[in-house]
Amino acid sequence: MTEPGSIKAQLMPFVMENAQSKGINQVSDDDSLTASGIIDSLGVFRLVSFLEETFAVRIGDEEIVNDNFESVRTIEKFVAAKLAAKGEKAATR
Amino acid sequence: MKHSEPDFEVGIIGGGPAGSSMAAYLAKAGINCVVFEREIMPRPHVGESLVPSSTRVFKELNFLPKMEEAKFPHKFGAAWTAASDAKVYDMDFGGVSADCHVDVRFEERDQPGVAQNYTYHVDRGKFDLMLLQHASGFGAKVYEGVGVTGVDFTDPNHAAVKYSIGKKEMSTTCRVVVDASGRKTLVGNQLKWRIQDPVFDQYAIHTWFDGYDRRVMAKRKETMGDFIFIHFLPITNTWVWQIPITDTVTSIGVVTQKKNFAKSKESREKYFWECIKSRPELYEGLKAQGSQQIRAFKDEGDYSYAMRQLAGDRVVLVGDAGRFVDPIFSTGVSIALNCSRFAHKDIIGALESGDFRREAFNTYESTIRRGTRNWYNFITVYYRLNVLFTAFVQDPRYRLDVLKLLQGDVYDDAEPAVLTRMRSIVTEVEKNPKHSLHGFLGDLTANAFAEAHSD
Repeated sequence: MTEPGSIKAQLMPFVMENAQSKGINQVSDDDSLTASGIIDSLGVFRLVSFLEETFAVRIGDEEIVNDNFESVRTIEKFVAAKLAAKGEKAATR
Repeated sequence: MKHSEPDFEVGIIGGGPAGSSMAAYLAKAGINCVVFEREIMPRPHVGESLVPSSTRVFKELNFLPKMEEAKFPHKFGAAWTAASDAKVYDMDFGGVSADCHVDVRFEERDQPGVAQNYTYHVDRGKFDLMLLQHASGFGAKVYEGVGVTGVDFTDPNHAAVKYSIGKKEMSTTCRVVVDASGRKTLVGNQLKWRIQDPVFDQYAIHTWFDGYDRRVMAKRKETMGDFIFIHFLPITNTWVWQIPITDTVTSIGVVTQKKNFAKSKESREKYFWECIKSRPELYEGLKAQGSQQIRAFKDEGDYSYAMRQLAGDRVVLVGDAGRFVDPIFSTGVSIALNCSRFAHKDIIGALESGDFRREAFNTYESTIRRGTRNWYNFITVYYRLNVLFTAFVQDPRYRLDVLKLLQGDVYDDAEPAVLTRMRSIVTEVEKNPKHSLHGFLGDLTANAFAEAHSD
C-alpha cells in the first residue's frame, strides 16, 4: 500500500514534463491526456515504462486502455489498484 | 542406352546479385555453371542499399577487397525521420507518429562472422557488373544479352533452359536450374507458383540527384550523411528513401500504395514532387542551387508477391524470383545474396548424391522461408503500428534485438522473441477498440497477421 497522494506526487512530474514539451503548462486531474496531445502514441509506451519502473508493477498489453490512461485521475486509480493487487498477493504468499 | 551428359551442371537464369553470387559460390566449388543474363551489363537497377548480413557472403566469396576498391559509400546506420510539424496529424497520417525520429548505428551490435561495422550503398549498374565479373573470374560461364523464355522440365534426366538468339530457338541442358530472374519471376510464373501478396500493394518511383546536400535531413550532420534515410510523409503508408550513391550523387525514391498513385490521376513525375513537397526541407534541398536531377524517373510495380514453393524437382528460386514485399528495410540485395549462401550447399549436395527432387533443397527452402517470414512480419508490424517500431528502437530492452533484424540476421530463429512481442501487442491493439493505441493503427489491412501467412 502507498501513502495517500503519493502516486500522484510521483506521476505529476512525468505528466508535466510531457505537457510542457507540448506547450501546455497546466494539467488538472480530469483533463484528457490523449485528446490534448500530452500523451501521444509514443508517449503511451513511455508512460507504461515509467509506471512499471516507478511503481514496480507489470502492466499487461490489455490494460493499456483509455479507461485507465485517460487522465491523471484514472492513472492514479489504475496504479492504486495494481499496487493493492500486488500487496494482496504478497500478503497471501 | 546411356543418356548424354548435360551441357552444364547448373544453369542460372539472371545475372543480378542472386544469380551472380550463386554462380560465384558454385564456380568457386569447381562446379560447371552458366549464367543467362538478358541485359548487357552494366544496366541501372533499383535496390541500392544493403544490410550488414551481406558482408558474410562477400567474405566467403573473397569479394570484400573489391567492394572497398570500388569506393562504394560505407553505410554505418539508418535513420527514420518524420515531419516535425504537428499539423501532420490533421492529414491522414495513418499509424505513423509525428515524433518518430530514430536512428541506429550498426556498430551498436556485434554480428557473428561480420568483422566490419558498416555495409554499403551501391550503384547497382557497377555493383552487379562487378559481382558477375567476379563469378566469371571463378570460372562461371556468362551469356549476356540472352533472354531466357522458359525451362523445359519434361526430360527426366535434365532440365533445358530455352532462349532465342536472333530467330533461332536454342536450349541448354543442365542438372539443376536456378531461377534468379528477379521480379520477372520466370519459373514461378511458368509453374504457376506465384501468389500476389494480400496485404501490400506497393509501388515506387525514383531517380538520382547530383549535388543534393544529404545532411539537410540529418540530426547529427557530421556523422549521419552517409546513413540511409527513410523520410515519412504525411500520406498514409508512403515514404521516401534517401540513399548515397557517390559523394555527390543521391538516389531518391517515393514508395506508396499503388491505389494512392492511381487515385492522384497526376503524371508520375508530378506525384513524386507532390510527395516530396510534403517535407519542405527535403524539397528545398533537392531544388537547391547546385542540386540537379541526373536520371529520368523510373517506376517499379509488382512490388508484392510470394511463391507457393521456392524449390521443385531440378529447380531452385533465389532472390526476388522467390519473393518480394516492400523495400523499407533495404532487404532486397541482402536476401538475394543470402539465398545463394544457403542454396548453393543444397545444390552441391544434390549434384553429389544425384537426387534432384525438391526434397534435396529442403534446408534452403526452410531456412529462407523462416528468414523472409521474419522480415515480412517485421515489415507488417512496421506498417500496421509504426509507433511500435519507434518505441522498440528507443527502448533499451529491445533496441539490440531490433537492430539484429535491421542487420539482416533473421535466419536463425523460427521467430525472434522481439518480433513475437511486437506481434502480440499489435494483435491486442487490433482486437481492442478501447486500447490507447487503437487509433494509431495503419490502414494496411484490418487484421495484419490473419492474412500475413501466405506461406
